[in-house]
Amino acid sequence: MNIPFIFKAILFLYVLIFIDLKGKTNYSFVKNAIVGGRMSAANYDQNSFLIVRFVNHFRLGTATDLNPYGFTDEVTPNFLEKVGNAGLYIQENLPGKLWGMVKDPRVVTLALTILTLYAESFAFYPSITSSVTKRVINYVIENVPLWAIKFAVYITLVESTISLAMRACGRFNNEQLMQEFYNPKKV
Amino acid sequence: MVATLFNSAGEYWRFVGAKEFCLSANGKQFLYEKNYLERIGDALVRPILGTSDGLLQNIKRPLFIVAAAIVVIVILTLIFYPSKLTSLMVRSIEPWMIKFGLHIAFQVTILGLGIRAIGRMNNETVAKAWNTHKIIPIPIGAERVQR
Repeated sequence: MNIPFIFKAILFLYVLIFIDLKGKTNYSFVKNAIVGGRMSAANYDQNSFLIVRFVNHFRLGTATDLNPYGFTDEVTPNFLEKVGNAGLYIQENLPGKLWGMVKDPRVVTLALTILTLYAESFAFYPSITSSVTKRVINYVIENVPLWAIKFAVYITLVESTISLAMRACGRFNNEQLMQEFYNPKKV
Repeated sequence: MVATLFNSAGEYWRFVGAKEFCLSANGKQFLYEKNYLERIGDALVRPILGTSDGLLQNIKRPLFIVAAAIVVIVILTLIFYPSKLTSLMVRSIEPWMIKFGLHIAFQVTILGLGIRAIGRMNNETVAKAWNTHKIIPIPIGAERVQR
């Protein structure tokens, strides 16, 4: 099967699913798909459009945390869901931790110091600095194994997809959860 | 470890560039134990920033103004006619030596500022006092105002 076609098909489905019925395109579909956006257990309506119900099921299956959706404490994740959550732990938590590190004043100071040292070197000795920089960049480009990076990205994407599927499968097989999803308790 | 908080870039630069801190309540010097990063940074920045601090504090004196004018004239002559000036002063000094010396001095000062700033941010005493606004930074050239 033609692999690039599969990626195009998935992308098309994503865009199609998250087009708002009011006619506006929801560009925050990635965030909504993971965080769950505006969906809550109380909003599910079995009489709504098919695509809206599909979207609600998709968000239920893929949301990182179900706490904001108003499910009761009796709903606990089953084994399959826990395995899926474990598989997505790095992808969901590492960006936040990295962003926190980037905002740390110490990291900012270190980066600014390195940048200022480089700028000062360039100001005093531009030709030597630029030739050394070019040599370093060429060395990195020639010696970094691009095939390994490509393979690592591929494995990560496959693992994320499998974990998302396991999480969704676990949730859809959670009777208590689905009971509350289809029959939300009115507040 | 307590994180040092900054509400703006200006606040950050005042923290980094401060020669010392004083208590906001009474203006007395904020005394604390410096960690090894701060001590290394202080030692690296002392040649340039320490000298600048002394010069700026004495800037109002007439003798200093005369000396500063002479230094500026020498620097201008060095920029426009470097070889003639160095041949007048000392025969063995070449212009590239002065350029290299300045380059090293600036690099060491920048590195010292960075190391000192990171050392201050890692110092829990300073971080806590800074976050609770108990201390204010004293820039180079300024004197502490004791109340």
